[in-house]
Amino acid sequence: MTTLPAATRPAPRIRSRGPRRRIGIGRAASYLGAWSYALMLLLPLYYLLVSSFKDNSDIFASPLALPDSLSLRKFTTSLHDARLDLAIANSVIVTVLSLAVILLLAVPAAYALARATGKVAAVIERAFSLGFLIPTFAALVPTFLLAAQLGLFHTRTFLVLFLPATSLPLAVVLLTQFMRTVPNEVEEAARMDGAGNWTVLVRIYLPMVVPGIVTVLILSFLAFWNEYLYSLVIIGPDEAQRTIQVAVPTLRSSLSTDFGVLSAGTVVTLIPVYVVYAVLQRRMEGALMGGAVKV
Amino acid sequence: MKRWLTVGVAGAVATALATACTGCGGPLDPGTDDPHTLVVHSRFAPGTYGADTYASVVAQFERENPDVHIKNLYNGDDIFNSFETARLADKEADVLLINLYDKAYSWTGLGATPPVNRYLEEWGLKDRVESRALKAWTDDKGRVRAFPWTGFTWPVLVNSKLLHRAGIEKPPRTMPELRAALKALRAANIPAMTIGGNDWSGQKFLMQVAQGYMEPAVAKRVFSKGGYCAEPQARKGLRLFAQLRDAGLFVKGAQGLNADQMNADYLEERAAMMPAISSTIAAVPAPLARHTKIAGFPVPSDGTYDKPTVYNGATSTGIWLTPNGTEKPDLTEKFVKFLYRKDVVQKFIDKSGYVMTMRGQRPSKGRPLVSESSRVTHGDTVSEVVMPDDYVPPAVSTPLNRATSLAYTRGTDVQAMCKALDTAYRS
Repeated sequence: MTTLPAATRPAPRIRSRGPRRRIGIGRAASYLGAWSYALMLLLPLYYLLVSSFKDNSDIFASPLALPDSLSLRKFTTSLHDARLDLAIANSVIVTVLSLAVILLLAVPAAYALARATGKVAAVIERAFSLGFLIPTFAALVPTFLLAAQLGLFHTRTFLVLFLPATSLPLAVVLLTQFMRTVPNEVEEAARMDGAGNWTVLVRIYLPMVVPGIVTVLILSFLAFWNEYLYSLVIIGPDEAQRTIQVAVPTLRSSLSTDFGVLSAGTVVTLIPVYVVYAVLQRRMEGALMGGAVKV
Repeated sequence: MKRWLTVGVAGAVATALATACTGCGGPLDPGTDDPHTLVVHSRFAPGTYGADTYASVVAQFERENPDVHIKNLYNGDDIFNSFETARLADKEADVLLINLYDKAYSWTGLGATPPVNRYLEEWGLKDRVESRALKAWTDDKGRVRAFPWTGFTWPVLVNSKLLHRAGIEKPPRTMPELRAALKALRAANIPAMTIGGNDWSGQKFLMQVAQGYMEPAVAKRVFSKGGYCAEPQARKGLRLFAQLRDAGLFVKGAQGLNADQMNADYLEERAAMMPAISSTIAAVPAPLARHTKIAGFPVPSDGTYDKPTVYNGATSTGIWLTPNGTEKPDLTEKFVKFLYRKDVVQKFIDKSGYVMTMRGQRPSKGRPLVSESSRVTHGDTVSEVVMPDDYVPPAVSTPLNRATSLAYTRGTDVQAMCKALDTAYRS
């Protein structure tokens, strides 16, 4: 390594000492609030994670202390005892197929509503919005009866058909707003080139509303993956079919529970959620910000 | 375009999985429609109390009956709801292994499950069952709800090492002895009794203490219909509970604890006493079991009972037949007879410390503390009090547990306690 002559050496950088930034009381309070809020969100996650490596006595005696060892025994026990491997496979089947169904239904519906100008379309759009007013619990009994009548009780198939219905109002309303932002001129240009409805939807609209679709996918994924009540009632306890949200509570018993194993099982259920969120986070945040302006 | 490809591939994989797992006999195939499969719904999920023994006897049954497959369905506390919804859709399991509790009391009367009187006779199983168990599983119209199978004992565990450290020689049997023990334990800085004041364990103990002044007929009436405030015996019993609570009977914060925290307290030797059901007694490790004594809870000298009290029951797990199960009589008969077989029952007693309600079984070799609890519970040194679960209406159970928490809060007076209990019956 050669040494540069002093003349050619770059002059040492002098850090200019500008005016000291003063943090006002308001800003300090907002920092404090933000950090406190972040801690409030992180604390349960931390508790869950450290509990996954502890026995009951340690969890009750010192809940927030770090574990003595990082043995994965509790994770393997939870996987074995609740057959979380099968449960994850079932959750993937139900969630992915439900997402496919919701896209198949919501995208064409939103396209039609976005382009339509008549009063009927406005009524239909409002009808979709009314879907928000139906409490999930209120639909349980009719849904159960429907499943029993169709002979689809204790099957994943019914849930794959039913779950998209629960997210359809949000998906249609959200995608309609996104599609309304696509300029008419683009569509007109495509039509002049001979594009039909299907081509316009697939080639013009879909690429331009990807952030909206990602938002719908993430929100629906969270709803479908975490769904418990209908999965419990409709699919039932069979470990060959039950989803992970139904499988994990079997690790709890009223007589005695190994909370370390239960925590480990819960962590396992959370991992896919964090993975999906981490992968699609930026798209979704961007879409939500954009959507906030557009809607 | 790449992302659409990803979505498409994911969808295709899921579709392929879903298609492949239906009717292929793989792990994701329910396979419940097979006529040679007996579907058994239970709480024996792997990792729970007795699950290993259950799994081993099921394997033994399948070895002995290679033409029969047992398909197990597991639930936790939601097993009652899960069964009921399945029953409404005619998709219930063939056999149900569950305790007689809460909603299950109404099943036979509503026709959700058939009575088993006929099968007990025809399959020659009646003589195997202890008469008290048969009585406990029979409703007021003489219908036996299910095949009685396991029972429970519910005495008080006493850590004699901690008592000795406080200068107490033996478990207290009378109220003066108990009050003296509380004083000595407090002086030695040893919490006297741990309890799950926020759940079923606390609720049972509250009712046990209150029964110190309640005659059985009064207890049954009050448990069935409420009216704690209006019943002088119930008020007197609750006053006794409040006095003991304020004298320091329970660990600090008992009103917020649950059964798991209670167990952890006792197993870690942080408290000298704990009311414990036999499944918990089976979990006491050998070193602690060596200095654990089985006792009843002391009673007042002017009370209803003259000996320390315990709970004792025969309704822990029964073998319920379902309408679907009656359509597979050969399979259900084989399975029920197998579960009643002497060597199979003994396995549950020896390996898991189960209290079985079958005649002619030996005490547990592997769990001597459970055997001791059976001996004490059925001996003449204790009195058996009325089990609230046999009388409390199903809809009241959960609100009653919540009302219990108030009773464990220091300073709560009798009026507030009985009012909370009565409110539970109106919820």
